Amino acid sequence: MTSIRTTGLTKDFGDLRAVDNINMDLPRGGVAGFVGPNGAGKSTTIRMLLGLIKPTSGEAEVLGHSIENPSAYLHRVGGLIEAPAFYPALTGEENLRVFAALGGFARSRIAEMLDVVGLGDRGGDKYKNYSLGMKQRLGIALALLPDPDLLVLDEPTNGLDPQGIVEIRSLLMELGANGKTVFVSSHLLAEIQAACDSIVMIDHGGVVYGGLMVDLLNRNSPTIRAAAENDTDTVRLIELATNAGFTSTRVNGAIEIDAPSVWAPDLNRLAWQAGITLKELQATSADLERAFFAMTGNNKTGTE
Amino acid sequence: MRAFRSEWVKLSRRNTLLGFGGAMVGFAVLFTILAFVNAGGGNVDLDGGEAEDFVTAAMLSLPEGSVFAITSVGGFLGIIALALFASNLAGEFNKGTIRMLFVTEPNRLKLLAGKIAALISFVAVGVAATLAATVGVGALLAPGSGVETAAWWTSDGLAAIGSAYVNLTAAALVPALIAATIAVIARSSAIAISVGAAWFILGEVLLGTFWDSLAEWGPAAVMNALAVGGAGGAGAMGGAAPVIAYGTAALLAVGYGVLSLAISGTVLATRDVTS
Repeated sequence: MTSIRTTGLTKDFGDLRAVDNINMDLPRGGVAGFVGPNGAGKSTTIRMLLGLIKPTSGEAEVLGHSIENPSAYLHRVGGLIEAPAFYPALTGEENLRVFAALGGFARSRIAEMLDVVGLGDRGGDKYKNYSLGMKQRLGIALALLPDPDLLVLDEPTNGLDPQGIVEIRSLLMELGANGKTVFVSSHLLAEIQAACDSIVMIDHGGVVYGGLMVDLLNRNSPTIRAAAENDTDTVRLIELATNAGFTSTRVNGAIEIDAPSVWAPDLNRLAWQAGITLKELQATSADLERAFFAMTGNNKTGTE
Repeated sequence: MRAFRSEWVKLSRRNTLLGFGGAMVGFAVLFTILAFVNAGGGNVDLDGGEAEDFVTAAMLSLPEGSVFAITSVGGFLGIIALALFASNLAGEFNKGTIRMLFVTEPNRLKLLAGKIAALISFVAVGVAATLAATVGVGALLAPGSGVETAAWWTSDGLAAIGSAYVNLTAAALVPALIAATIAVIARSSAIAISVGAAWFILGEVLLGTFWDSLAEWGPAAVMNALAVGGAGGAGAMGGAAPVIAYGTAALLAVGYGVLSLAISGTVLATRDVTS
């Protein structure tokens, strides 16, 4: 059973191809990340899944229903698209009441969801007086209002303080563990790595990776970063790595060696024996940020 | 029905009630006072020129005298309704709430129908409050202005109040529905209100000086004709009497309404929500 399945999903805005032939298959349950550089097509894809824009070509299913008929599935979906948008003159509680009435959701869930996102004592405040983080929390409360089977969140941690980020991460993981499917895009790759079981990575409108997080991380081997105290020893340091069967790359006066972290003590020993004093030696484990840059070939722009 | 109830959560807020409802009642009370002061012999200099009698105590003593003032300026209610509809619909785009509304209620035509129905009901309640205020203030001012109110409470008088309610509500909805369409197309409250108000206050009158037949079918002419009960009615504040018969005005109003809703619905249902 899949929660989201797309086949050749494509969207053009005039001459601009915003989403290019996206194929993804997201299982039900768990937390899935959706990452890509700015302009990669994440928000456009999410908008298509939520019935806000129509694809130029291709097909997609959400909870088993075609996106051509959003009424068939959106009552089981909670969505937060980009920045939360509410009525400034209404209180947080009143804002949720507008949408609860529209969606036919139980009014009792309003107070419940305000509590869940930490706004239990601020629901009576006007939305225009909310901080960015509070607005974001209200957006998440709205997404949770229908008790959705699928939660689609676009940048849910925008504007949240560190404690808020941790709280929302815990909430999403809990929802995922309880059988809900959470599909979340975020700038914060470390957050995506911490919270998500699977990931869809897109670039230039197309999917560059879709699958389990652990498989993606395993694709990108860990590295050891080392720097000699004397710059002239850098070449000899590269030779030591090469002789041990590892490839290395010079990066800003240091070298990065594609080797497991357990080889770091060996490198330290070999360098000492060769009379090289190391001023830096650091083993880095595989992480999403490195995988992201490796997959997208872009280490300058960050994510959308 | 859900969209209707949802919209009323917003409409029933004090600011909206006082803002739009208060404006409708306020205008009505103001013009009622002007009418009774004028009928009582006071000088009401509306155009900066020589003071003139636009209403007499005898006119206000007729069965339809209780609603004379408000039906004569019914167009003002239309402009307020126009602002309400335009700001409500365009505001959803300005604030970005339209995307959350569409995710919550994916059937966009249902959403539009519910919103429009709620706004129409708000106008209907507003017009009722306006009439109540007009008649109430008129009854209070009548003795001092030499106006006999006995005829107001006869069956003819009550029928005149009933007709005024239907006519004013229908008249107000002509500019309101057209403004709603402009709002959906332009996605801007400022554009929708300024374009709509400019047309209904001045644009059609100016254009009518070059295009005579506009007075027979133009939306502002239809609004004014409906407000005063058709071609036989008095012109607004002593202005030119409408030339459109009541039945024709009603048919044209229905036509404008249906056309406006069809355009709004088509645009809303087919357009991508990209921002």
